[in-house]
This record gives sequence, C-alpha cells and structure tokens, in this order.
Amino acid sequence: MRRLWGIVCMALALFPLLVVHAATAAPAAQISAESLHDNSEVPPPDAAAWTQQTLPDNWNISRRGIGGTVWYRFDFSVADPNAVVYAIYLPRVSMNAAVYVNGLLIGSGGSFNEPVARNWNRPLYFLIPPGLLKENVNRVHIRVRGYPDLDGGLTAPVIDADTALSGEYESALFWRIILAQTTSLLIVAVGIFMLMLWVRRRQDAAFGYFGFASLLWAFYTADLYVRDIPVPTFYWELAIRSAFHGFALLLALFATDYAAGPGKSWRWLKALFWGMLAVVPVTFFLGGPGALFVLSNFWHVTTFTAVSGATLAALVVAWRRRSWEAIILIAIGFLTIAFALHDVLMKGGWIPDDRVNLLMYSAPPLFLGIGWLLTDRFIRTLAEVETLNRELEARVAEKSAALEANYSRLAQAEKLHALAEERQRLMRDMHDGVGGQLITALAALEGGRTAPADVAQIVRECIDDLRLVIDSMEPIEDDLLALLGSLRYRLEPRLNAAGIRLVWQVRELPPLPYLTPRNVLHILRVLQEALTNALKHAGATRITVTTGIDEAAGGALISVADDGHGFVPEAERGNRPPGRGIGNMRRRAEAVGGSIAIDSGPRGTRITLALPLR
Amino acid sequence: MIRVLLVEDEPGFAERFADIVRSDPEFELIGIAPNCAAARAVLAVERPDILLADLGLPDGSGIDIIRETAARYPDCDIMVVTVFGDEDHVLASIEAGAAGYVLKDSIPGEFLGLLRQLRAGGSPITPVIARKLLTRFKADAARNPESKATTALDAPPGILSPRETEVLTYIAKGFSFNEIADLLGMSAHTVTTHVKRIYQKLAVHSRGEAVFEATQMGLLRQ
Repeated sequence: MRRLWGIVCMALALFPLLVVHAATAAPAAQISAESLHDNSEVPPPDAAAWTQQTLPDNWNISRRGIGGTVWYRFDFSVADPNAVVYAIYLPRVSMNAAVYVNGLLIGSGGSFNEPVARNWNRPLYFLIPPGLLKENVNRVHIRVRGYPDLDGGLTAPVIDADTALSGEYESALFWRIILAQTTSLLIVAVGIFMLMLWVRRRQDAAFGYFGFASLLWAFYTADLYVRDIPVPTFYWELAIRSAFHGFALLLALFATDYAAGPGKSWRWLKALFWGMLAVVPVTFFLGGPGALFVLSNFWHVTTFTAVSGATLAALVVAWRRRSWEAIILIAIGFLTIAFALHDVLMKGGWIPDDRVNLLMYSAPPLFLGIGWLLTDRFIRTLAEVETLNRELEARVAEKSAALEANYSRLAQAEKLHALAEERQRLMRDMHDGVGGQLITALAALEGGRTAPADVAQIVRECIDDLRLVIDSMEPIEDDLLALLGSLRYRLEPRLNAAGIRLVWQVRELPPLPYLTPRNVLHILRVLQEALTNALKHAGATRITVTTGIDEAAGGALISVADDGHGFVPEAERGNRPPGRGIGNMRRRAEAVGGSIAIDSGPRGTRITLALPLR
Repeated sequence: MIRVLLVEDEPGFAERFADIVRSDPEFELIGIAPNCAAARAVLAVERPDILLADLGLPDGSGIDIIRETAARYPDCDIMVVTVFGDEDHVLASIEAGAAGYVLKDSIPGEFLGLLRQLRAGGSPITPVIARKLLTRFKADAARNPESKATTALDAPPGILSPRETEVLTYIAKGFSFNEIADLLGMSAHTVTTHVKRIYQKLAVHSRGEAVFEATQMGLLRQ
C-alpha cells in the first residue's frame, strides 16, 4: 500500500513538469509573411491581392468565423543550398497544410477535400528535395485549410538543415502523438478492466461510470492523433465533443455517488446529469456546423459547473472523512477544475490564447487518482473478506472447542452414571445370589443340624453364582454360545461325577442386541437353574442342551432336556404355589423379554427358554 | 510318579489340595510354596513335572513364576489355580507359558483328571478363552494382511491355520474335545495337539509383540 502511494505521489509531482514541457514546446518564433484567402488548389499568382500577415496566424483572432483555404507566402535564403539537405518544419497547423518551394509541391498533410485530414495537433515535417533550392532567394507557399471557429491557423514554419531540425520534430511527434496514442491504449485497457468488474458487480456503479468514462476519454483523445476520419468533419467534431461532455458528466455522476455515500442516491441530481448527457449531442446535431462554436462554449460552461459542483460535494465529503484518499482527490479535483477553467476562459477569449488545451493534461492524474481509489476500494474489500474469514474460522474453532468441552463433560457424566448403574446392578446381583446363599450357609452351620455335605453344597452354589456374575460381565460381543460353553465347562465334571452324560446340540445363534451384563446374568441363571434341577432332582442319566431358532415359538430357543422322572405339573399341584426355582426362572426370562416353556412328564423334563431376536 | 509343586499362599486350599494329591499314588507333592521367594528357592533345586500356581501372591505375581519356570523347564506343565477363572488373568498366564487353569473348588476327581490330562499332553481350554484367542488372532491377521496362510505349514508363527481356527471356533461354542473330534473327523488327541500348538503360537506371538513394542520404544536396535 505504501509503495502504491509512493508511485501516485511521484506521478503527481512529475506531472506539472510534463505540462510545462508541452506548453513551452510551442515555438514562439515569429516571421513576416503574406496571406491570401483563396480556394485555389495551386499557389495563387504573385499579382494576386496578397496582404501582410505575421506568423503565427491564429484564425480565431485574425479571421473569426471564417473557414476555407488561406494561402501564405514568404521568402527565405540559405547559406549553402547544395551542401546539406534542408527541411521545413510546421510545428502547428489547423487543419491541414501543403508546402510548395519555388512553385513545386514538396509535401502535404493529406486530403484537402471533405473530410479534411486532421493535422491540428500533428507536427508536419517535409524534406526539401536537393537541387530545388537556389543560391539567393527561395519562395515558400503554404496552403492551409481550416474551419470557422475550429482553431484554424498556422505557426511560424522553421527551415533549416534536416540534421539540425529533425530532433525538434521527433520530440514534438513523441509528446503530441505517440504519447497520446499510448495513453489512449492504456486508458482503454483500464476502462475495459473496470467494465468487466462492473459487469460482475452491477451494484458497484462507480466501476461502470469509471469504465465508460475511460472509453469516452480514449475516444476523445483519439482526436489528437487520428488524421484521416471516416465521416465529414462536422460529425466527427460532434462525436468528439459529445464524448468529452459524456466523460465529464460520467465523472460528475461518479463524484455524486461518492458524495452521496452508501444508501443515498441524490436521484434528482443524477437525473439532471443523465439528461445533459443525452441532450448535448442532440443540440450539436440540431444546431449544425454554424452553431457548433456557440453551443460548445455554452455546454463547456454548463458541464464545467456541473462537474465542479459534484466534485466539490465529493471533496467536502472526502475532507470530512479525513483520509489520504480525500487529500489526493482534493489535489486532483482542484487541478482539473483549474485546467478546465483555463480552457473555458481561453475559448471564450477572456484570456490570451496560448493554444494549449490544459484540460487534456488533467486526465492522467485524474485517471491515476480515481483508478487508485477504485483499486483501493477493491483491495480493501478483499482484505475485509479475508479478515472476516479469519474471524469466522476463529469463531468456528471457539465453538468446536466449546462443543468438545461440552461433549467431554457429557461423556464424564455418562461415565459416572454408567458406573453408578453398574454398582447398583452388582449390589442387586450379590443380594439376589451370594448374599442369600451365605446367610443360608451361616444359618445351617450355626444350627448344627445340617450335614457338612449339605453345607458344602450351599457354599458351592454360592461360588457358582459368583462365577455367573463374573461371566456375565465378560465382553462377549453378543455371543451367547461362548457363555453357555463356559457353563458347560464348569458343570460337566459334576454331571459326569453324578453319572449323567451331557449332549451338546448347539447351533449358531444370531447376535442378540440386548445382551447387557444384566440380561446375560438373567439368562445364565435360568440355564444354571435348569441344569442343577436336572442334576439334583430328576434322577436323570442324560441331559441334552439344544439351541436353535424358531420364529413361531418366539425367536432364539435354548432348551435343557433330561430323561429323568419329571415333576408334578402345575395343573395337578392344585393351589399349592409353584416351586421357588421355577418362579425365579419365569421372572428372569420375562425380565429379558423372553419366556419359559416347561414340558414335564414321566419320561423327562424339557425346559425351553425363548429369547426375542431383537 | 508325577512330581507336583504348588505355589499357593492360602493354607485352606493348600491343605485341601495336598489331601487330594496324596490320595492318588500316581502323584507326588514335592512342595507347597506360600510366596514367590519360596517358589524360586524350590525351583532352584527341584524340577517338578507339574507346576500349579496361584496368581496373587504376597510378594509378587504368579505370572512371573510361570514365566521363569517355562523358560527354565520347558517340559514342565504349568497350570494356574484360580477361584473364578477370570479370563484376562488366565490369558496373561497362557501367554507366560501356562497351559490352562483349574478352579479351586473343583471336586477331587476333576482335579486329578485335569492333572492327568495335562501330563498326557492335553491342554484344557474354556470356551470364553477360545473366543478371546480367536478375536485376538483375527485382529493380528487384520494388522498384517500380507501374511495370509492357507495351511498350517506355511503359516508364520503367531498366525492360526484354518484347521486351528476351526478347532478354536468349536471350542468357543462349548463343544468338548471328543465332540470336536467327531465333528471334524479326527482323533481327540489331534484336537489336543492343535490346542497345544495354538498356545505355543500365542506365547511366540506375544514374545514377538513384546519385541515389536520394545523396538518401537527404542529399547532394541534392529
């Protein structure tokens, strides 16, 4: 940013030098000559009514309102006509000129018929053919074609050796033509860039104003170097002048927008400017060539007022904002207004005519300044977006950290809850199983009436139950068979010792999603109860454990069948309560959402635990 | 005579166990060590055929005694004695070189049967332990996908052959060795051999894992 500022400031500092150079480049030399208003296409005869005329001859002063062809003639002598090549240099002419030396045409700026070649800003330079010059006196005729009120005229020609003169011509050509062409191209490029921005962002009218203004300015300045025009001079002048006013009014619109600030529109003022923009070419067209000068001056004053007003308003706003931007704008604005004032005063004849249109030179700093303003706005917007993104990112990070903290708090709470639940479950399991059994064992021992073998049996059951509790906590990943296997592994030696054979007919069971430790314990207790019942009471010789799936019968089935003598079914037991063991099995099966089916008879008992599949 | 050494700090069980062993003339109880130090002292001079070790000892873990014994007397059969057979401890003991566990409240016949089975080359294994082994080897196979073995012969140590996997799967479902032998059409002895090899692979495997972890920590240079 700092660097950009440096460039802008340097350009502004160098600019006056450039203006001074251009203004002083016009030669102040005067020579004495004669002139004749005559439409002849060849030099008029010597006997014609020539009148005395000092060059430079400014038609605005000497022939106001007169156009057509004016012939000039003067004599000159050179020291050594055959030793060096001589040239004639016309620093300024309007519109076109042809040069004759000793009656012979040596060069012309182009067409003398409508549309006349435009050389009003172009230096003309012609070599004098060797052998044409005479020792003593040589006569020069210059034919000049001009238009009324279009700055017609001729400055003093310079005749010298080509080697001495060409440098001056080249320099003038560079400053007036080549530089103008380069600047035009540059401004067209800038304008197209701004318009592309505007097409993508219609809400930023400033880019549109500036883009169109740039194109109009480029067209306007094309008049500085375009020699051969495709339309009659009047229409060209009309277009060029309209372009200038269009440029000025677009700048006024831009300044108005800037001064109005975001959100406000100053609609009436902008409507006025738009109206002027449309009206100017129409008045030129209706007025015709005769009114061009008067209308031009009128519109110059009007547009100058409009642009000055809008610029001043923008300056006031800019000044209130106290930005660097404001100071630059103020500097450029005043420069432009001063230049425009100079031109208006000069065109109106209120100040001496120095034949320099200063307003032309206010364009580069204006474009630089406004271009910088828009670029700066563009860059600031980008920077704002980046800052915004960073802030958003920071906010997102903050939120996700908060979420994470929240989550870990929740997880902690959940863990505590799970621990509490597990503790409760263990307490309940101990109370249901081991606790009760230990009390029974204690009572048996204290009573002294129970046989040691029976006490041992009670204690063994107590240990068995503890093992079930431990097994139920095993993370078995829904695999019930492994736990059934464990049960078998532990009980089988005891069954074998009692002369009972265990037949294992298990099939893979589907994973049951509800196998929490608590539910697993219920299932294991049911099965252990069924097995120990068969071991203790049935008088069996064989126990068959079967697993399978039968959706009609309730889902996954686990059955324990013995070949013992069975027990009394509920129906025949009358109103006596069912055995405590059976009741417990029912209760536990229901706790996991399953059911118990008991099929008992003289040839054995089958206890089937049905578990839902989900 | 099968020489048995018991490492156990609880006098009640030690006494019950001594009675059971002495009731069978095939076995000789060469000592009861109440802690690690005593066990090491006995093992320095005696060479038991069977070592039975409790895990929670007053001056250390029985797992250390198991590991030392397995290294010192590779022919010695080792078993853990435990109240509950909680599977994580048992698995660690198997990794250290034990061949299974026996519950402390087992009836006398069960005890002696297990000891004989052990001496005959058997390896008792419970369904839950089988399941854990399966999970464990499966996880390792997933970690080394390039070592896919199709037969026991080209299986690298630490990875189960398909047959061994099959045997383990049946054990995990609660089938006995005899039933598995019937189901797979092999002798019960072959089933036992498979189980024994699985135990060896686990021991080798856990040593390999230890080396791997040590290398990771920079303790060993490759």
